[in-house]
Amino acid sequence: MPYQGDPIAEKLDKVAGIVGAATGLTRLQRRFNSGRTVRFRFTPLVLLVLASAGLWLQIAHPDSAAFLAIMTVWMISGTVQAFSPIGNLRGAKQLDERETALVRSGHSIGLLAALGVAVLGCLAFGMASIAEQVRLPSFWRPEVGTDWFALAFFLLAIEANVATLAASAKLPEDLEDEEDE
Amino acid sequence: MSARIYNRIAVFRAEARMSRKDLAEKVGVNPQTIGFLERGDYNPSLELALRVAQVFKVPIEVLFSFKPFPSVAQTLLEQENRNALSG
Repeated sequence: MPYQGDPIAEKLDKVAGIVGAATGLTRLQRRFNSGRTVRFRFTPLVLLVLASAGLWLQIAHPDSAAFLAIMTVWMISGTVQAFSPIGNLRGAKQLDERETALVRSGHSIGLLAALGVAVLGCLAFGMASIAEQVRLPSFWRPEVGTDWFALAFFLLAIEANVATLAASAKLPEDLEDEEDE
Repeated sequence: MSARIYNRIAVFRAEARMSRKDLAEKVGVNPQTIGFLERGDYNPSLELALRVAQVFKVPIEVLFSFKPFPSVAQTLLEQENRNALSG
């Protein structure tokens, strides 16, 4: 209900309402207040693409601070995850057995994905090192500190987004009748 | 791989005039979990199944089964037929 009383406050309230409706913030806030989680299908994929682009930037320009971009993507991923089925927006409320299982399986899948990328990366870096020693064409491997930072945040971004995707996929569709929830 | 577990929590809940929220509070889960349970989207742990059965004061096999439960109409019809044959 819009605020009524002071005319300036009324106008500000109207502006806030328009901005909230246009940006989807009002809908998000309602969802937040209801304690229901959001199923993310595309946002984590976009964030994974952005993290990969950040890593590519770090490889292409090792002197740049591209790792900061990947770190930002990882931080945004964490915020998105808070609204996902594995986020705990209800704060102190204890998760029940279904929710706990969802959190565990989501993070397990995310960690497995990050581990898989880390193992493949280590093998690739090892091969790059050997190729350089025997004077064969080599490829990129981390050398400076920022390369390692970039890789660490890249793996964190993979874990967070894959976990969000997995948990979103595992959450059943909303109930048709939520009248007594 | 887990087998599908059928249940008739919704029937018992309606009979007891209990909302999902009420049942959820009694068994200590989120109301959404009760909804998913009734719809067959979630298989409960043994502990949760026992707690639900305890709320309705029935044995666990009355509420949960590996086979689909007959509908209320079908059960009533069968009962009517049995009564007609015996009486």
